[in-house]
Amino acid sequence: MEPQKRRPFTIRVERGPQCVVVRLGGSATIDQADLLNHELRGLAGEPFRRVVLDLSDMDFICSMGLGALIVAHVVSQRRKADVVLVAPQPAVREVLETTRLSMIFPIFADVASAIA
Amino acid sequence: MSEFSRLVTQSDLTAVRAVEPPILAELRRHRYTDEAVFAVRLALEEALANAVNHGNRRDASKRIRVEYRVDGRQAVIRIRDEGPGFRRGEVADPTSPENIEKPCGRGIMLMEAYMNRIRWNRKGNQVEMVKRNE
Repeated sequence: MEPQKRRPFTIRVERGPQCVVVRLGGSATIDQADLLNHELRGLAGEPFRRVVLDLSDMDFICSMGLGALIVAHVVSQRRKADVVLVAPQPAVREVLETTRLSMIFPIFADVASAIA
Repeated sequence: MSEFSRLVTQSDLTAVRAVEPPILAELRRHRYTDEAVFAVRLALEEALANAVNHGNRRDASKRIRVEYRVDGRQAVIRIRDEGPGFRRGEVADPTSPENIEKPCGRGIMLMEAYMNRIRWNRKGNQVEMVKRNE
């Protein structure tokens, strides 16, 4: 965690045959939440069996960002698919644990494990 | 004891974040830990989002007023919107089974978890948050 080094929020999408890997980078702040929600909701509606959110490069998430993750989870579940998280940084993991969202999102150590 | 600094911002999720850098810079100047800076940043984001989304209902003609005072002992931040206010007791627990999959409602919980003290004025349109430098 290094709050002095602010990086812009980034979303990189890599579509595979069965899974989509979404690599989130930087800070998911309140002004980025609508974008994140739009992207994840759309991907969750596509015919993947799993949406993999790689959080290893994301240093911050607010509750509106968490809301975007939950929307993706709910949309995926309706299709019998799921959303999983990869390698959240300690500060982000603590936010997930504080809100108990770590109970509904499986967390993997790396992307390879998540798509296996 | 230093006086409060005062900022006024538009009720917009992008514009409102302009209040963050001067507050976080003061925390660093007073050598708050990285964890404390993260906590204040998170609580600030949550309080500002609540002011924009729930207090002022994203009405860009309304304003949000921020007061802050940071010293070596503690940071005190007040955020006030122009909305009708709310009652803390009427906000549902976002971690309960019936709410855990709802996309909203975690901001207050995070503010309370990451700051040392949170309190609202009687009307419920101003929150005061305190983070100790420890």
